[in-house]
Amino acid sequence: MSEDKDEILDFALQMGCMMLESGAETQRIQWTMEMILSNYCSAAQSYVIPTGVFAGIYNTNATASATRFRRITDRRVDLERIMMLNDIARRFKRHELNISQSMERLEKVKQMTEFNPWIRLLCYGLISLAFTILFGGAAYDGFASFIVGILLGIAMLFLGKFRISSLITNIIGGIVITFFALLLLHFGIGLSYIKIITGSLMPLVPGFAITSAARDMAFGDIVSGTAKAAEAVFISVGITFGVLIVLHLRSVIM
Amino acid sequence: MSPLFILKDFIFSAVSAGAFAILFNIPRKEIVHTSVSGAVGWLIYIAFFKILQMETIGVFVGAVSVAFISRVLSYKRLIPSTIYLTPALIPLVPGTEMYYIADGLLRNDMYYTFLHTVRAIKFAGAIALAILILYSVPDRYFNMFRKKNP
Repeated sequence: MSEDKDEILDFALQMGCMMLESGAETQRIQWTMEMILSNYCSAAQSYVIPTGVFAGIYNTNATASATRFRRITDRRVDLERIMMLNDIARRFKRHELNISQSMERLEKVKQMTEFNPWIRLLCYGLISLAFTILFGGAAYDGFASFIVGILLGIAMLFLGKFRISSLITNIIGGIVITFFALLLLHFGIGLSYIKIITGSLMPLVPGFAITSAARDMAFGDIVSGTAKAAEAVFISVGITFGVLIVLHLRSVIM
Repeated sequence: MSPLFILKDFIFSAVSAGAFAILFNIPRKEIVHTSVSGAVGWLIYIAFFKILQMETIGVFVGAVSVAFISRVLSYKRLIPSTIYLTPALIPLVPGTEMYYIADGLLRNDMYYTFLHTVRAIKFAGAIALAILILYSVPDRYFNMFRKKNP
C-alpha cells in the first residue's frame, strides 16, 4: 500500500509539472492532479503556483498520509501537450490505464516535437505583418514589419537554445526590432518607424501572460494571477528598455 | 466600415491568431478553427469601437463570443477549450498597452503611463469577466453540441 502511495504521488506531480511547463491554467492543473489522486484516496489536495506544484494525500492513518512538492524551471506554451496530458488523466480516472502505462505515455508526450523552425520563423513575420496592418499601418509598413519580424524570429530561435533570463531575451528582442526598423527606413523601406516597431513587437508582448493572469484571477487563484500580472509588466519593461536604448542612441548620433 | 475594410480586418486578424496558434504548438487540425474564432472576436470588437465608440464593451463582447465559440468547439471536437481560447484571445488582449505603459515609465511621462495603465486594467478586467461568465454556464446547456458516439 505504501509503495502505491509513492507511485501515485509521483505520477500526479509529474503530470502537474508537465502541464505547468506547457502553460496550462492553474485551475486545470489543480483539478487534474486532484482527479488523479482521488483514485487513491478521497481526501487529496493539490496547490499550484507558477513555479511549482504541491500534492498531498490525507488519511486518518498517519503512515498513509504524505505531501510532496516539485519545482519547475522551464516554462513555455505548448497546447498540443496540454491536450495529450488531459487525455491521459481522463483515461487514468476511468481506469483504462494503470500507473505504469500512464507513465509510459507521459514519456512519449515528452518526446513530442514542435513545428519546424522555418514555419515558426514565417509565423513571427506574419504576426508582425498582420498587427501592423490591424493597427492602421500602410501596406508598405506591413512589408517592412514582415522582414523585421523574420529577423526577430531568427534572434529568438537562436536565443532559445541557451538558458538565459527572459529579461535579457526581451531586451535583445527590443533592440533587434528597433535597429532593423530604423535600418530599413534608412534604405527607404517603410513609411513610419513607430507603426513598424509597434506591430513587430506583438510576438514578444506579454499577451499570453495577461490572458492567463485574467483567467486565474477570475477563477480565484489570486496567487498565480498576481504573479502572472507582475510577469507581464516585467516582460514589457524589458522589451521597452531595448527599444528605448536604440531610439536614444539614434537621437544622440543623428 | 466598408466591406473591403471588414474583409481586410478579418483576414489579418485570422492570420495573427493562426500564427500565434502555431507558435503555441497547437494540434494541426485545430489551426483553422482557432483562426476563425479569433477573427470573429476581433471583428466584433472593431465594430463596437468604430460604430459605437465603445472600446471596453467591445473587448468584453468580443471575448464573450470567443469564449462561447471555444466552449462549443470543445464539446463538438472533445478537446479542452484552452486550446481554442488562448490563441483566439490574443488579438483582443491589451499587449500594446503594456508596451505603452513601460514606454511611459521609462520616459518618466506619468500622465501617459496612467492613461494606458487604466486602459490595460479595463481591457484585462473585461476579458476576465467574459471568461468567468461563459465558464459559469452549467455543462447541460452545452451538451446539445456534444459529438455523438465519442
